[in-house]
Amino acid sequence: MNLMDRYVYAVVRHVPASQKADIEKEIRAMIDELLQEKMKKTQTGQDGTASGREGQNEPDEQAVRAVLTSLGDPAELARQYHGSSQYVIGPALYETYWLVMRIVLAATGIGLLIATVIQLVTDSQMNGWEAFGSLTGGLFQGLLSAFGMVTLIFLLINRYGADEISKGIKEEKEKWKPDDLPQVPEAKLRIKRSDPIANVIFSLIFLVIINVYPELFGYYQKTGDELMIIGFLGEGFFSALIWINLVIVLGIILEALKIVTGRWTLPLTLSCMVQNSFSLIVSLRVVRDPAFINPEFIKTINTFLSDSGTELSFTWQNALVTGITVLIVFGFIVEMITLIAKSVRLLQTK
Amino acid sequence: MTHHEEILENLIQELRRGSLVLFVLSQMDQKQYGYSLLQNLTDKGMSIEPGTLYPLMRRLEKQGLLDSQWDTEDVRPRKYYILSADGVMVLEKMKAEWKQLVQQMNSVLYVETNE
Repeated sequence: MNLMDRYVYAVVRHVPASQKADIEKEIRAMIDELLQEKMKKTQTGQDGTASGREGQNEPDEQAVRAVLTSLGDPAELARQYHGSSQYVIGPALYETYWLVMRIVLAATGIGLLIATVIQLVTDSQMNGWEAFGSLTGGLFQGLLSAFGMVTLIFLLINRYGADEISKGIKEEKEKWKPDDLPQVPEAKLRIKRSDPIANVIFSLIFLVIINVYPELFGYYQKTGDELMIIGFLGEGFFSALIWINLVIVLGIILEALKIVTGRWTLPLTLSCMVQNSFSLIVSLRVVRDPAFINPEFIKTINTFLSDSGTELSFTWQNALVTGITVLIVFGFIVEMITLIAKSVRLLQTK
Repeated sequence: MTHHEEILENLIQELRRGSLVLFVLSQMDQKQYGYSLLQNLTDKGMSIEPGTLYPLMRRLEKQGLLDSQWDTEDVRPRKYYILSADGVMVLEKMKAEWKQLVQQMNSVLYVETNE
């Protein structure tokens, strides 16, 4: 039976090895003491329980139960003995831990992104589906590993060096003076978190669609029970897919930088200008490629138009391409003007 | 328990917890073992769980404020605690601090009655 042994064991297992023997001795003494007192009370009738004189030298089970119940959860008791050294990563280290974690995760994420893009561009045998799979798989594994490594390192630091570290951190904090305050970025040069995040999300969605489900853009035709989709995008688009992906990924990287730094800097505006121009060149070349639109699509639409007897000219695709071109150029100009304005302001405040 | 009652409970607990160590130390000028101290405190109106007191004594010993001794007279060994030299000094200083604290608190809390 031995409730007492079970209780002692339950407390002692939560206690550091170096103190186990000592604490076990103490707990047994404590329980014995409490038992003795309880039994004394019982025998003189003070306790009100009817456990009576069953073996004066043997603690009866009811008394043991009562004492153990009053001591409470063994884990709680163990916590009392432990004091306050129970953290995985203590409060002093916590801030530093998150700071390092953010940097490491961002760096790992960007690194993996770049690696996958390079793979996509150089390995002609890899199709969009594989790239997406390898990217998400790699990101998941890589980020998880990075998280684990950083946590493990900080765990060890906390265990074996916490005192030194918190002393060091305290000293750093005590030397703070108002001059240490970083400059507040001017309101107009700040980048709201929400914009780049939205951009990244949409870019990723777009990236997935054009690589894996390009037929989403198309003409949906129902013939009997089958739903046929005739894709809008043609060979001209797909042969340049690598470049298009590159442009989008560069855009994502820049948006990520915007999220991390939170403000405009000259290198950032210049990089954005470069990416913008790159995007313009690629977009225009793709759109103005004669094979941009899927010929099947053109045929289908034309058939549809002639069947319904519309008067639309059969050169609608030229009008469409021109329209898209105008939009691209317009977007480019607006973006460029914004970037130039930011750069000018940056140069002024210097 | 209403929200206010909960908050009040917590504040009162914090207040008591702060003065617990001083209370305990003040009883340790004589040799005490776990249960005797427990009785002592309960008699004086300071209710405390054995599961809190025993570890507390151990911590105070670790901090050098108490000395301990195993008494192996009886069949069952008992651990006795008593103030160490450092403990005596610390107790005196803490008593002075307490006196000052009470004075400050009283002058702040009970100004109205001094009209």
